[in-house]
Amino acid sequence: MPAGAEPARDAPRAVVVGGGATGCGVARDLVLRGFAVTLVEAGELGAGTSGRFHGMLQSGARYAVSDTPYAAECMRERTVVAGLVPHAVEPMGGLFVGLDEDPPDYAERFAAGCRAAAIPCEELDPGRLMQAEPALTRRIRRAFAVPDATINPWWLLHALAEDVRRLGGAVLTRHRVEAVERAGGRVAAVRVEGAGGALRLAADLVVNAAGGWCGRVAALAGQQVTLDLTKGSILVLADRPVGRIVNRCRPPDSHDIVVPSGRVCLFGTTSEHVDDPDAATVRPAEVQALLEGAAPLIPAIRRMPLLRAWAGVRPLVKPPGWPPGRPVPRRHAVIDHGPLGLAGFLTVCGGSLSTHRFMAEEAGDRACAVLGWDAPCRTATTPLEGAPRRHWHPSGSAPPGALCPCEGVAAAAIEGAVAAGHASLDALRRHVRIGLGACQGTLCAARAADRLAGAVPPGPLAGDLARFGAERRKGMAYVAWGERARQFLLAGHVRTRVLGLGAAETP
Amino acid sequence: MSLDVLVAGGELEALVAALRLAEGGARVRVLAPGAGGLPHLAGGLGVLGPEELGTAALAADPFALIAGLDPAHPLARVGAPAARAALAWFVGHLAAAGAPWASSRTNTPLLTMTGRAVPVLARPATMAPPPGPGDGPLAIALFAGFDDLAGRLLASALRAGGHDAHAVAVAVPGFEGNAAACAAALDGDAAAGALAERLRAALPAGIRTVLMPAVLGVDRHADVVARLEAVLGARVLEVPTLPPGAPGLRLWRTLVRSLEAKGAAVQTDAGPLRADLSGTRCDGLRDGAGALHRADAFMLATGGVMAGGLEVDSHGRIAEPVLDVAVVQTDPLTQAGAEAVSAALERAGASADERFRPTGAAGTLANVAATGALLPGATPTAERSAEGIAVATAVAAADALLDQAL
Repeated sequence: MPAGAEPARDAPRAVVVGGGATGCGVARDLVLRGFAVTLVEAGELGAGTSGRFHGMLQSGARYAVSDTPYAAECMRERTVVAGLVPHAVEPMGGLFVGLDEDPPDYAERFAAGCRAAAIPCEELDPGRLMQAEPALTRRIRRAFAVPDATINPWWLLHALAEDVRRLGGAVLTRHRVEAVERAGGRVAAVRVEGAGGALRLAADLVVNAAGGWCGRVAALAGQQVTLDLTKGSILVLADRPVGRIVNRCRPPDSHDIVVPSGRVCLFGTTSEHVDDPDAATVRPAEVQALLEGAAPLIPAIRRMPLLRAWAGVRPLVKPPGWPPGRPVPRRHAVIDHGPLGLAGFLTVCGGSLSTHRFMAEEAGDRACAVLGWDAPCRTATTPLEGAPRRHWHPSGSAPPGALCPCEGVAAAAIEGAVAAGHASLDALRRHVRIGLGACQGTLCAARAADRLAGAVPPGPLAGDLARFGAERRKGMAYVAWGERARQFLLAGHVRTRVLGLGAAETP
Repeated sequence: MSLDVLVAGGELEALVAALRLAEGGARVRVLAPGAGGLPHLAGGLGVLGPEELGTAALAADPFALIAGLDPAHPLARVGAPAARAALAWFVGHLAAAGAPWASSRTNTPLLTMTGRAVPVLARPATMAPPPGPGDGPLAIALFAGFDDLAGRLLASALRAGGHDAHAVAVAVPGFEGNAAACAAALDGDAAAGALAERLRAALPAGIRTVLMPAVLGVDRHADVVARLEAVLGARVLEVPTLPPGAPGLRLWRTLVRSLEAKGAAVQTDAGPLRADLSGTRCDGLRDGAGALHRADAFMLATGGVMAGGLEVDSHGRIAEPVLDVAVVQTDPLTQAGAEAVSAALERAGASADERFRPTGAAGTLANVAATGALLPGATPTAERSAEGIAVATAVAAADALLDQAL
């Protein structure tokens, strides 16, 4: 155990609810301040929004005009996070391109906003940019380069969780919060249920960091948190038709962002209000809307192979008395429920993965104030031990004998991940990217299942194969045209005729 | 003078239709847009097996199930007696061609790499149902460098089912790439001999059955299997691999040899085909290089969406690219859920009259028949009916074309 990391005998006991970027960030923040921390996550780390967003590590330029202070916060945090987990970050850079139809004065306001937010921003020659990025429209009139990046969220979350464990904290995945016990107006314990049975976690502090599920967790404690949930649907393009993240140089809107990710590329997003964080499914009409929205930026979009579509939910906190119709602030909120009747209960929600560390810092500051615990935030300056120090770059070509030629995943990488405990096809998808490429797991899922056979009993493994295939096919079905319709049907054929699984089987 | 027929397509229905036409006395050529080789044939002839894969379904009489189908389903169009006769003719042909398949009057379960079974009416002689409770110890051969059979998954599934199953890893010289490539390598004497010797050295004592990936040769498949069985002193069985599979390549070679023996030519890699039409008659098909292939009659056996015989655009419109015949469809892209999208894509097809003649812009095409997965109304993924539809409709459409010409 590193020096100073052992929780003191009188250390406050904290339970953090939620294993996304917010919860993992809060857990690390508190454990570094000397709290005795237990993180509780109902699914796997990143099972919610942190594993279902466009994967950007924002420079903040997108908000340079609409919310300059938030943009500055993004830029500051982007730099900190890239320093903490360089292995999870691909610093490819971002473009803001103004087309004929975009507001002509926005470009100047954008440049000024970036200056005010301390975001490095360089104007580019549109002609040379269009030469360098042939998939983009020929109608670019203004172009700016900013330090946008992408991040592999699962690698970030696992690095954070590993650090929490290393520093003496506990991380309980697949544990669902059943109740928050109170005693005399204070939190007393959290009762959770996992595969191994029920646990009672005594707590001086409970941090509700459950993202889109914050309202439900607060309700278990008899508290109210009003969220604004927005579903965004995203198209996945084969290959990387653009080399950098591309934004429209206009006020942030739907259908205006292209994000290379691994060996594929995302286009998004739609924006629809939803009430249920679990109800994030794509409507077919959204796919057509995304195609229409993409056409001004990527004219050949309908002729490009699209691998799938998927949806995620962005949770923002609606401040009390917020006027209806007005956009809810992007910036996070830390709610101290002490004045609302439950001392020792905090909710932190909103913001983004890019700003998760600062969200955790503010939550940690408040926790210390509430409990009278004197310890400064150390997350920005304490390196994540064990995190490789080089930036992530997807490899250009598949290694010989790759089990997943689409994403260039070698057998050894899969075997290593299985040995490290990633004992499901979904875990392998997150950690080594099987199933994310052109075949969407049609071939590599069975190959990976072969490597899992020693680690998982056969019944569950066949079920895992069925479930994984069903989830891949669900996303492929939205974009089943052209060559991709053939691949989609081939995936079904392999499923029912080669693997002997039921067509609709999802255990 | 015999009828001159050009068969367009490289899937199973194209070869079966060509064979039936040639047997019926027609002069036949096959023009396959792609490389051929039946890469998607998993390992057996699936005719019809209901979605719920219980024991009863795996043993069902597929022809009895035809009565429960929508009348527009291709198997229902053909009818149970004609479908049964067509499959029997086809299986009989394989035996006569020296590549016998095991068949029965009802479905039998075919073992897959997950340990689960799929219902088939006929299967290559080396493929089998899952082992029964009385079967002795068995081994699953894992070939180093070959990843398209999850042998460890199969071994653990069989062990969980109470079998004494051993996974045995061997390195095979020259093994690289997919199943079709590995099978071709095993046609070589040295590779097959080395495999047999290494397996014999690695097998635990008392093994009576060895399950292997279905890569045991292509042209010399029977020799490879006989040699392995002799050296190992055990029964050798094959389990279907991921595509492109060797059983399809073997079947392709068998059928092409049969066709060539009847004087029929098979041309692969012809590229995208386009028809020259005069009103309701097809004059010829242009290949990818623009050459015109004339004939008296044409069999359109280019397959459905999966084979590229039908094309879908991003608005969900489905078209038939060779003759631009009328297509019946629902919009696949507005369906809810992958199964509904899949079913809409598979059910789409070229509408055809009772003689299997599709509809062109000027009306029913007089000298064209459509067959196989190009016909509308089936969902072969869920039904496990792909090969049954291919064979039954190819025979029926070929017979209709021959009848018409008489």
